[in-house]
Amino acid sequence: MSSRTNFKWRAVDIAVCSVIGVASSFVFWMADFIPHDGLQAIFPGLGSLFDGLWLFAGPLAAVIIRKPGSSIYAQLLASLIEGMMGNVYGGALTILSGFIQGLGAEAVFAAFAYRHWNVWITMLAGGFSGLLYRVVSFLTDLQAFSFLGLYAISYTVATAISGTVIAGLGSWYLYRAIARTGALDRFASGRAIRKKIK
Amino acid sequence: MNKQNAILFKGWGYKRPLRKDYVVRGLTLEIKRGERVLLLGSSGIGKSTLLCAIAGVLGNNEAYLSSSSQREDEDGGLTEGDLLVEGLHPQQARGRCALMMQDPEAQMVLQRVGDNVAFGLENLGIERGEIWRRVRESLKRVGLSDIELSRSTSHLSGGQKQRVALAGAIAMRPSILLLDEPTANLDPKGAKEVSRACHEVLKEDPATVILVEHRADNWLDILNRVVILGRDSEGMVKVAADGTPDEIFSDPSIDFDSLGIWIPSKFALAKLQRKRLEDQIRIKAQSDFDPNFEALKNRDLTDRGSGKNLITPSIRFARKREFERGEVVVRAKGLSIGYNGKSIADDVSFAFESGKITILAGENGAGKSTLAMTVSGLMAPVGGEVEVSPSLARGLKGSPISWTSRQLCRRIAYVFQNPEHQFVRNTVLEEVMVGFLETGSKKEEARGLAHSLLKRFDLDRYSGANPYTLSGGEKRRLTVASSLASSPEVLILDEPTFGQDRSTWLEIVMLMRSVADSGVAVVAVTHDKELIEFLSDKVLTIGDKEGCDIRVKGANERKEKERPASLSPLLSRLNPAIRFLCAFLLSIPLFLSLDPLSAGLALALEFLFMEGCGISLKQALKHVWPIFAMAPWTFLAVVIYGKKGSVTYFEWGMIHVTNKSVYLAFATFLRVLAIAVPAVLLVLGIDSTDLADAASQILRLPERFVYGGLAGIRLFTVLSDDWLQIGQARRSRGLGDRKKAVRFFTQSFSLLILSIRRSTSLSTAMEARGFGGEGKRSWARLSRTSYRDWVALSVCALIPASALLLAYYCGTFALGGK
Repeated sequence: MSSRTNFKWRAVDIAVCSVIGVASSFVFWMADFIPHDGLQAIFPGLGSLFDGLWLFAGPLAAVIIRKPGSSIYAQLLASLIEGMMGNVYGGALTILSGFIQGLGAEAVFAAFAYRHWNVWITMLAGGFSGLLYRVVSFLTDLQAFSFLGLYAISYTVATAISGTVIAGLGSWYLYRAIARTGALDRFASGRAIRKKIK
Repeated sequence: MNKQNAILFKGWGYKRPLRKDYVVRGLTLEIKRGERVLLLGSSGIGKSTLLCAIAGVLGNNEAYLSSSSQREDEDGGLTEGDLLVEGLHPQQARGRCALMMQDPEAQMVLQRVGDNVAFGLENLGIERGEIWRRVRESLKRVGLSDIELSRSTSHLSGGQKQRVALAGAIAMRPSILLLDEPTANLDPKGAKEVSRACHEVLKEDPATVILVEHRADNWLDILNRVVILGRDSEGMVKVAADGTPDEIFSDPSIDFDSLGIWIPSKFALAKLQRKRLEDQIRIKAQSDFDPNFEALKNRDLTDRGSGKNLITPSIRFARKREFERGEVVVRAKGLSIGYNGKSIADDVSFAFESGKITILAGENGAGKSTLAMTVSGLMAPVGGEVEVSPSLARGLKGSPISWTSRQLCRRIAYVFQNPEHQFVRNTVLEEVMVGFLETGSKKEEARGLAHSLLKRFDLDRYSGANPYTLSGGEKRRLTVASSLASSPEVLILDEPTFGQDRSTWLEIVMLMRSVADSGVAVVAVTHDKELIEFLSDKVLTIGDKEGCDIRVKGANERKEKERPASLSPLLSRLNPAIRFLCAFLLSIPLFLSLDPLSAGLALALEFLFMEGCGISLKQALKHVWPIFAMAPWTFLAVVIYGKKGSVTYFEWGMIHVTNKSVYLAFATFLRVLAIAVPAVLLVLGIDSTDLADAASQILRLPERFVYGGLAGIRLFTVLSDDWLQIGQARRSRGLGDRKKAVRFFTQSFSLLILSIRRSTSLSTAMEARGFGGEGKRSWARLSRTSYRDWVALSVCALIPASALLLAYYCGTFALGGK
């Protein structure tokens, strides 16, 4: 990675991160229509296999923008808009969850000092984002389930797996596909992919 | 430092990220204060790059601090040599220069007209009273004094948008005004409006002006210097000619043609240039045989759908027009066109013939594209039917709109105005192969055919490149090439010559001629006078005036419907940030206890509160019913998997239905409602601009992110239009029959790419207005709070507090559902 990594946000960083947030909000909002709790009732963990769809904005923004705060910003913006469009979870809870999810992904990228970017770290970020979010949710909206019970554990594991696969692996390959179109040439992340192709 | 200098380039150069060659290199140019300069040169010589560099929006902010001869910036670009703007480094001089770009849409930062003009002033930290004084004054100077400041920019015409952008630029009182093809993307009406506005502005303004424009006709009287850029043998950019407009355009020694320059018609040389143009087009029309296309003859020429012979236009080309020319392939009588079931023109009649070029001409945008899309089977007619000849239908019944995407693409192709709407693959080669593959070629064969088609379009050297990275003219050629790959009999082009320099223009014109000569019925939607003059075999005029071939109903101004900021008049008067805080206060404390009493009571109080705000139960339910639809599932999940109690009713595997799980399920059910219902009702309808103002002023969130996010949200409204066009483009290219899910995902991906591209150019427009600098911003709009907000906050705090207290006294309070 470039040794002169600049942590200051440029206008283009803010603009592209915003658009990732806005576009993700639409996916989040559509994922709200998946009968999450219905699937959960059929088999614990079944519904949360889709949770990654609510988690990908942070990791995606981070691997593209590569600046501190990009995960939190994108995930928060996306859930803010999702909440404003109106969903079954209510705006306040949605935004709060968005912040926690963003924080989870951010923590992983921060642990690697925003200097290492690869598929493994991204998967870790997606997975940890899901793990943190799900653990917190058992302290808030899922208080009716015992915290260390089989149900909670299978639920949490499923969310973490979904986060790892959809929000981690998925975001990584989505980023590579976007970079290949040349849309990210003004980003170090985009140039890293296009150089290899050329 | 010479004080007379506005701009000084000394051995300056810039290399874009990932490019092998410099766009501009070794340029030395001096522009004095108050000069009005027209900057000319062929496409790709780097005129836009120069303007961006002067405006200080090229590369990142720190590059100029380095003193080394080659500076790499964070964009991955490389700068060399010196550039001084009024004696300063361009990034330090930001705010002294205002940049106006060609794409009107990319320059609209915020939703409302007034806010857009005010945006640059806020970034400069101008005081609020002064901001609005300047906003009104600037809008007046560009001829928009009667437009409401609150009008949505998405309801403006291109010409109006461009004038709003100009107003935003001059409001900053720049000493240098940079105009980058300000009328290239506009119809003649809009172009006239914008050039008139520029004239008005520059009459009294002493600003230095640099204008980039391929056609100088409308601008001559405000210019006093023309600089033509050219490349020397080593690829360095040099000033090829420099002088007054009269000197330059009367100089026969300048090779205007190869520089891609249109000579303004008032000069004698223009006539000669026109004559040369005519000759070139005629020669092209007479040339016939293209040896590259022998390969196509060996192709399996059977249309699998109809079993009939499938002749590619290229084959026809090779066979020297042995087919019937002038046969009517598409016609309509008494057709009504429009959208959403509303007709915009009735009794439309036309006939398009094979081997001929028909032009749909008209002053303003409305109608032309609708007609073209209706003919192409991309939009359904409101009344009547588009009739096709048996030779075009080849056994198919019905009109184009009823055909499948594959059937359509091998008969009628549509080339969109914005090539990027149409790209579906990652390389130029694959892009062209799509058409061959969709019409039944095997992969290897398609590859060969695509290569030969690309050779003919002079694009083969880019076959491995990404379509998005081509230049404007190349993109256009590629879209035509890829449309021809599926061998359509009718080719419809939307504004094919928009914003092209003379060389590219000529390329496109010749291309259209040769396609028509190969027997294809070519239809072009355009208002390009030269195109009509040189190319048309037939012209259909569209407009709302008497005497037009197709009469469009008077364009009714779209009335702005004021969208209420809430279902409740009371709530809509609250500060948006307070409304969010209210939603949090109402819902989050309820997590303290999981019991039916606190949740149920809170829910009841919330509905009372809503009633008090003027939202009836019925209205409320209309908006929150999905919550009621989901809650029973949550109930069920808790019943069977919730915490175990002392009495078990049912047990099976992981499932335990107990007294406690049922109790908790009941509590959870009520609490889900109590948390979600008010949160949805409270924030529903909040205007995003108001929210952003409140977020930065009341909540003190970082402004750059707040307003960056706001600009992103505005892009969203543009994207719904893009989505529609991407869908139509896919249908036109034969990809519309895929499985719904596949179609959805590929289309979403295209939209994502397009929105990232849009946001990148938006960021340039924002930076050109001083966004992202270090200085303190000011606020054009005040976000206020009043006693109402504090009352609302107190009520919202009291509701959960009283519910929890009551639960506590009744003994049902259960921390975390214990």
